[in-house]
Amino acid sequence: MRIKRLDLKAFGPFTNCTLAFDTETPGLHIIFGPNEAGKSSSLRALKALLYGFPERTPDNFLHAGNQLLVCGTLEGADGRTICFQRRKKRKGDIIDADGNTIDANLLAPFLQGVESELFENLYGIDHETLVRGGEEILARKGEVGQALFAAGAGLSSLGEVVDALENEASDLFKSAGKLPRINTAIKRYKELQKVARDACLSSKEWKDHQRALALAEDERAGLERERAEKSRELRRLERLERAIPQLGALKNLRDQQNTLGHVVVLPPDFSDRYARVVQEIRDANFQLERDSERLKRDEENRNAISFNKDLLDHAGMVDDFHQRLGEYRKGQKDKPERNGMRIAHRKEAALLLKQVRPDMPLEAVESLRPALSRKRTIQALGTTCESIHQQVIHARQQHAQAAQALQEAENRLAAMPETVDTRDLLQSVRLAQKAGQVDEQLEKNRHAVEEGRNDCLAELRRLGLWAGELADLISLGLPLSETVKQFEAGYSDIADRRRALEKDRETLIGELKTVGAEWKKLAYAGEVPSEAELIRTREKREQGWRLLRRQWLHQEAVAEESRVYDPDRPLPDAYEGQVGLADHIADRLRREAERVAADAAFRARTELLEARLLECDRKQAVLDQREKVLNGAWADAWKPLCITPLSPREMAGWLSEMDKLRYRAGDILKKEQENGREAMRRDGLCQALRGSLAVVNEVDSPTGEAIGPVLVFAEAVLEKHDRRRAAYEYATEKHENALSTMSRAADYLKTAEETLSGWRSDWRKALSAMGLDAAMSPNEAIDMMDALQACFDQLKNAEDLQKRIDGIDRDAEALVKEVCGLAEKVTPELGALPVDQTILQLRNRVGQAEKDRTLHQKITNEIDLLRDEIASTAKKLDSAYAQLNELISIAGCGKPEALAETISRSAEYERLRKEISDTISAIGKIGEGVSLEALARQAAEIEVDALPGLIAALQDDIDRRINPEISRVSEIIGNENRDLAAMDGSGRAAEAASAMEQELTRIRRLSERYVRVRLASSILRKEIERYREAHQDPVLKIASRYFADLTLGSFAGLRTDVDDSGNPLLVGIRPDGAWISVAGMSSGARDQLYLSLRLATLEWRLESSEPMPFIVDDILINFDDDRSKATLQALAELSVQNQVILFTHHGKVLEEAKRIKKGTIQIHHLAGRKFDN
Amino acid sequence: MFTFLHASDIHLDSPLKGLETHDDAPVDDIRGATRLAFENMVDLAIEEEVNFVLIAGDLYDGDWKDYHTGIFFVKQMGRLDKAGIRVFIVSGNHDAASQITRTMPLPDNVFRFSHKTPQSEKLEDLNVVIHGQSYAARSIPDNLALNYPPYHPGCFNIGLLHTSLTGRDGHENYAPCAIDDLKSKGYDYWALGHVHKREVVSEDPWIIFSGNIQGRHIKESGPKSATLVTVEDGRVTRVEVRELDVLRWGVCPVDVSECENNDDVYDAVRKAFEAALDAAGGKPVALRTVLTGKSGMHARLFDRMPQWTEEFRGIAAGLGDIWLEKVVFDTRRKVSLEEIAGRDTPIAALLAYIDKMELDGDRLRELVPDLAGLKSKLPPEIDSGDAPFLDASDNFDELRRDVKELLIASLLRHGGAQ
Repeated sequence: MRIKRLDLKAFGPFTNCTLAFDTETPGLHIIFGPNEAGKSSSLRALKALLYGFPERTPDNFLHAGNQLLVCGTLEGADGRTICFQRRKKRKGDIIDADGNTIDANLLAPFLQGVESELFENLYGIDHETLVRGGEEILARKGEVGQALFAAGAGLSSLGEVVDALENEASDLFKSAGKLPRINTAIKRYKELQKVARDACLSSKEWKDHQRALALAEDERAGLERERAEKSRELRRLERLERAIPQLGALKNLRDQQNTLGHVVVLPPDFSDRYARVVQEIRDANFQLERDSERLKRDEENRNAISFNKDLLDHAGMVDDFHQRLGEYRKGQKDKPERNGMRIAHRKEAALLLKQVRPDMPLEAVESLRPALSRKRTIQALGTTCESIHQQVIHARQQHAQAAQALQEAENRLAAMPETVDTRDLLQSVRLAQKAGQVDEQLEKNRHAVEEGRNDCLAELRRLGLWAGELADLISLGLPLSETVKQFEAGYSDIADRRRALEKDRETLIGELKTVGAEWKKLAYAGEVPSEAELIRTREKREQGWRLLRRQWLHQEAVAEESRVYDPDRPLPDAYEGQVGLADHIADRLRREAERVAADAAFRARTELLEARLLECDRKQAVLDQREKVLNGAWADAWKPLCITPLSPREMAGWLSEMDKLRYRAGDILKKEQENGREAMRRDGLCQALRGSLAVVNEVDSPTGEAIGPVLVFAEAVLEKHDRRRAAYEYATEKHENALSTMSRAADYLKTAEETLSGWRSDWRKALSAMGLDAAMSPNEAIDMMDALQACFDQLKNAEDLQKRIDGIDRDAEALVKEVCGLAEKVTPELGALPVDQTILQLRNRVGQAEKDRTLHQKITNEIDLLRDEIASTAKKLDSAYAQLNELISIAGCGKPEALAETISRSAEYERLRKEISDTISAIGKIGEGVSLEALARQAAEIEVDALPGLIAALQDDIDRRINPEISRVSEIIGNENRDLAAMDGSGRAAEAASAMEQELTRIRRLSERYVRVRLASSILRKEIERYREAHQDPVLKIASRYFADLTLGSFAGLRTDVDDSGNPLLVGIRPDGAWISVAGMSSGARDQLYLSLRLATLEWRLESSEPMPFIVDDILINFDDDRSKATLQALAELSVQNQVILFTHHGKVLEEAKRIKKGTIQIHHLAGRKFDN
Repeated sequence: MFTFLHASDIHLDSPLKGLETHDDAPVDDIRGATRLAFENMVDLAIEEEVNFVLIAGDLYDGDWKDYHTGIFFVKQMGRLDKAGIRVFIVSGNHDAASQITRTMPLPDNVFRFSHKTPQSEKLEDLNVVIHGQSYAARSIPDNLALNYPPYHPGCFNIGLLHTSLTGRDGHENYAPCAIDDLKSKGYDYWALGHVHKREVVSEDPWIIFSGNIQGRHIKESGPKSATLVTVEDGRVTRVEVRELDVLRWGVCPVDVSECENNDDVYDAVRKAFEAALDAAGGKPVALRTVLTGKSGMHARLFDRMPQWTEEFRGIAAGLGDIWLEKVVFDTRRKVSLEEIAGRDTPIAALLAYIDKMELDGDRLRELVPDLAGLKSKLPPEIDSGDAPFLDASDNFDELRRDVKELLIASLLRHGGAQ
């Protein structure tokens, strides 16, 4: 394949830029452009054309991604071409010149099935690949296999691939390693295995613990039992040890009790009661003595106190005087000041009066007070004055306007035409309107009736049998359908019977034939003898015998009769013959009884059948008669119509059709009548309309019977009159409005004027009461009123002050009188003092008297108390003596002196009894439930001195042996319980097992990867070696030539050597035959070595495959001029068979290219210019 | 009316297989998954106040020896006992092999049927008779059902049996029997165990495999449950499936044929994950992600399989509650390998060589000499279970394909003219 043309229609910096590779041979095409000229873009465009746009492209800076477009023409080895465009799209990106999508498969033959990535590897080379390829050869020390494989596959760094695989494998696993991932995972797996094993609890272990626990628990129970027994014994002995002294004491106490003898046992509180009574008697005596003394002393003190009782009774009054004293003093001080103020107020009042009424003295001023009460009236009148005047002006204006409007309305109304009453017309029109589209409806109905009538008549003709008018049809007396049905049933019955009869007859005839045939069959088998024949033969025989007998016995001549008897034979013979015959028949009858019977049966059957046939005939005749009668009745039924009827069934159909027709005819006639009525109604309506129109003088209404035009005319007239009336009503309404406005304005004016005159009269009245001029303005009048008011105010003040002065004098007088009265009564010793001093003296004396009285009262109270107490103490004393006597009687000792001895004996007895009881109770406590008797018994049994020893031994056994043992066993139980509790059903082992599974999964995944990587690496090595063996000789031969050319003869060629391990290595051959290893070559030479191998592979491939364009991207950067030229030359030579496209930005390359004479070189400037060589 | 719960194949403490731990995996959510599922079963029985629980065998996992497992079981039974719920068990093949079964004393509310002869246990209060027989050995080739006792007239009869019935894929053929064998007994309900996938074998009478209660590897995918049965007037009126599993296994196919770049692939995978999470109703899921389709991303996927797997794990971690069991790269190239390799190129020859190569165990050992060393170091458990390591012939085809893809990806990535 070669590329014929590349159009950069919209790509990178290009718009409609064309590269035409239109050389004859494939040719070497140098695409030249300085930096930034779009060289890389055009290289990408070429790839995009062949293999489509990548997902992300750097070439969409000028044209948007979806606008990018490249176009190209490819030519196959067979000369076929394809021209197509490629746009950036996921699907349908290949289109033809017209924009139609092209199937990508059409490109396949041109691309030789070489995919994008491979194309770039095999048919593309750039400077970087070249340098890396050279370095790779050095790194691999010129290993032939890898160098050939890399060049063959277009790889620059095969070694990296091989190394990467190796490295990945080593990272995954090493037999002796610890760090690789699989090794680590295996280690971890083993650790987890141990964890799981440790956490795993075996059932044996669990059972062992259970068993140990059970054993320990049993042992502890035994020990505890023993300890309990020993403790019990220990307690018993300890009890005895404690009880023995108490038992001894008890015995002593009982002995003492016995020595006391008879004792009166007193109640337990007796002694206390005795002591209490004695004490009470002593206390009461002492109390009596003391209280009597205090009583005497208090009475003496009380008698020493006296006080003024009258004064104390009036203490309230004295307090009152003292309070009023302040007031009295203040009044005396204020009086002169107030009198001065009163005089000043009167002077001011006189001045103010002078403003209002200079003529009036102050004393007469009171006559003006009533006038002052009218002040509000004057103020009110003053306020309304202005508004009333305004109101009058406004009313007058409105009155004038209304008068004018009324005049105008009257004029308009007078100019209106007269209206007429159209109610009648409206009524007629509404009636006509309500009737609807009468004309059309009437016409339609008439038409329908006509059509119906014609249809009906036609139908009637079709039915036939009867002809006449529709009206006759309706009144036609048709037989009822039931009648027809009856006839039909009759005919049907006859027909049925006939059919049945016919069937019977056929059956009978058939049967008769069958019987006849059977009978015939019997007859054909031989004549059947019959009883009748036998009888006949016997008759004949008898007849012969009688003849013979007459001849034989009577000798009669029977010759004549004999001849008659048998003309052919003599009588005896004939007789004999008849006897033989009769016997023969009789024999046969007997012998052929079956046939005879059959024959008889056939005969009987035939006779029966024939009789039944006759019966049939008779029935037939009956039926014929019935039919005839029916026919007559049927024809009679239709006589009134004068028609000859068909069969009842047909007539039933005809009748139903006729019924339908009659119904329709009835309908039509009804409709016809309705139409007539409708027409009359229309005429009526029309007449009414015309009449109504005449009433309103409209006589030009349209003529004709149709109502429509008249109605329209009437409606127009109505409308005209309605309009006129509406205008008239409007004008009338206006006039009425003007009239009412006028009347309102007049009322308003009148009211306003009345108000004004009322106001004036009030004003006059108000001022005259004051003696003022009525012409005074409201404001002036109000000022006057204010002055008068002020005058009265001043007078009022003066009056108030006078009242106060009078009050002071009155109060002072009353006080003096009261004080003097009291003083004379209760303290005459004071004499005549000024009133204020008298009050103070009185007050002091009241204070002293109160103190004395209080003391007197206190002593009196004390005396009362003491007297009560003395009485009560005496009562107590009596009670105490009564109790003492009672005690003496209880003790039974007769006298008080013996009481103490009796009490003491009783107490001793009580003490002993209590001690005995205490001791018994102590023993009871010690006994802890063991009875006193049992304890005494046990105590008697035991040796007291051995007791402490026994106790110590027991205690020692419990403390030193049993308790430690229980502790030890308890510890075992605790441990076992703890161990068992730790066996709690935990999931640790299961979790570890899960973790193991997870680790195992990892190991598996990594191992699978390891196997793949190792296998890939191994296979790749083998294949490299295989490829070398297959291609080493031919490819190296070609490469050797290229290498000599490219190095300008610095090397004569290439060949292989082997290293120490026997691996084949590439070496260069100097013209002098020296072998130069790749390490000994310059880096440039190594680049050329890689290029030689690539070109050689390409050339070698041409042997078997179709050529593909070889894209060379600026590989000449580091080549010197000579070697550049040599390379160009090599490429030019190759381009004879294989298209080569070289991208460069070196102008020098162009110069050199122009000097090359081999092949066809075409130079493309990216601007689109081209220079042919 | 009464209710009972039918469960089977608990396999307590049997580990989940095929999950590889990594930082983001929801390890805590599913720690002790079979225990959690069993606890769920006990919770369900208590909540629903069932009258009794049936366990149709394989309570334990055969070679698991940790006695803690038995203690755990007894504790759970204690919870049921407190709630007054009785439990009836037949032991299955795994239980017969388990030491725990032999030594663990059963609590009072648990009844295990004898392995010597079929027994009938009557529940007087409910008028129910349960017939059952345990496994005496790990392999029972006999038809146990045949000797089950005749039904008790007037009672509700239940048959408890661990069986493979007429044979079920992936399950050993133990205590085989025909469906008609069961039907002929005249029981009202057959509670079967052994088959891990739930199956209603018959509705008249009811014959049900309730399946295991927790999936343990990718072949046990889908919801796992117990069967809650309601009986009224001596007739089964309701049969309900109650999910118990705490981790849901599932295969998650992702079609990447329309994907053009990495983001497209991530999006497709994320969507598939979300759908799988939704389907599991909020439970953690263990997913086997299978990338399929003829995709332009094929080469990039195969070139960087470990990295892609990590990326997908990241997506799973982002969504939470997803454990990526495995990523299977099952995509195809848009253009075949042969087309890519071209004609007469070393790469084409390489592919041809791999295709022609007879790959078997011996050849593999020859090509990968380290393999023996590796295998000797690997734990023997790697060959246990359903898929032994590098042993089956289809493994070799997969191997061949993977190696081809690996080499092509490596070689073309390291091409020259870029």
